[in-house]
Amino acid sequence: MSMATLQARLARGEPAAFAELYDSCADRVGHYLLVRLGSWPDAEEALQETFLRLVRLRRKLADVENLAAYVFTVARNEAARLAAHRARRQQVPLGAAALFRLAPSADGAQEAAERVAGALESLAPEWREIVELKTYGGFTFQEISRMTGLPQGTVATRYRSALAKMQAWLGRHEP
Amino acid sequence: MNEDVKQLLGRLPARGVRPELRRQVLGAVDACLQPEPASPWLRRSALAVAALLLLGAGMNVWVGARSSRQMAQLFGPASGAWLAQEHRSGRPSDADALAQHYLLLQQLSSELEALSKGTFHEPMEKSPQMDRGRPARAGGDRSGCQRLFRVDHRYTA
Repeated sequence: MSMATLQARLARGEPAAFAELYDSCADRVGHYLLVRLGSWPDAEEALQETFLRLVRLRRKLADVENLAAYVFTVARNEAARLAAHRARRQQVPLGAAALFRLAPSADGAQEAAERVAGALESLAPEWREIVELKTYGGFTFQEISRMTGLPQGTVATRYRSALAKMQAWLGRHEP
Repeated sequence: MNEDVKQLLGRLPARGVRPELRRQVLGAVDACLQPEPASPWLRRSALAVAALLLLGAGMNVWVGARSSRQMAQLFGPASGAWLAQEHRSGRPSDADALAQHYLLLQQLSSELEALSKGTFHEPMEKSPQMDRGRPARAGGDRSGCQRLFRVDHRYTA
């Protein structure tokens, strides 16, 4: 089924269309919200609010150019709203178990995942967001630029700088 | 150098949301898509507003009729305002008859007043000779000549 058809069904308010949308992007959006908010309960709450917001905005969905980017933008706004309500909460670093799907039998995978989680944690939130959107959201620099409102060059520079910083962090924390 | 980090990130798939969350989110979506039932308070408010409007319209009619009755008692049924109201009410024939009656009563009243003061003079008939433009009629018939209003003295006795 084409994206335009799905968008038309979403605009008509078909529950099955929202189920399809959920299946296609809930994991990616949930992970992005986890990185933004720092905990799975908050991320799940924001994910639900994102879908409820999409239901309220459903008539606009038929004309959206890039549905996935639109969903992430709505999720980004919901995360900002929730974070503003919970500004005083102490942020707990996200471990590898919260961030990644780990194979229990893989040798050294757990250790490598913990190091990558630590490297991600060392990034500033605005840099980490770009790494998240590029790596796990699968968006281009242009799409990230539209979502975040940053110039495309700034997005690209931040992404490369973030990777360099992660590399340096990993070099300092060799096992 | 960054390629190493990219490869590391690529080997670590992101953890997805709990499977149970799907039912919760889609349940909330379904609930949000249901049409909202009309609030009983909204329906009651609408009924109250409608009742107040009806009451207001009824009060307006009642006050108008009462005011008209009071005016009629004070100034008589053929007062100017009442006549105007009758005209507006769409009964021009009744109103015209009443207007004529009103004018007759006014004339009678003024003549009675003049009689009581001794200043009443019966108006003179206009001579048909003064109207030189009118052609003379055979046999001195003056039935077509203009006459002034004449009081019937049966009412003044």
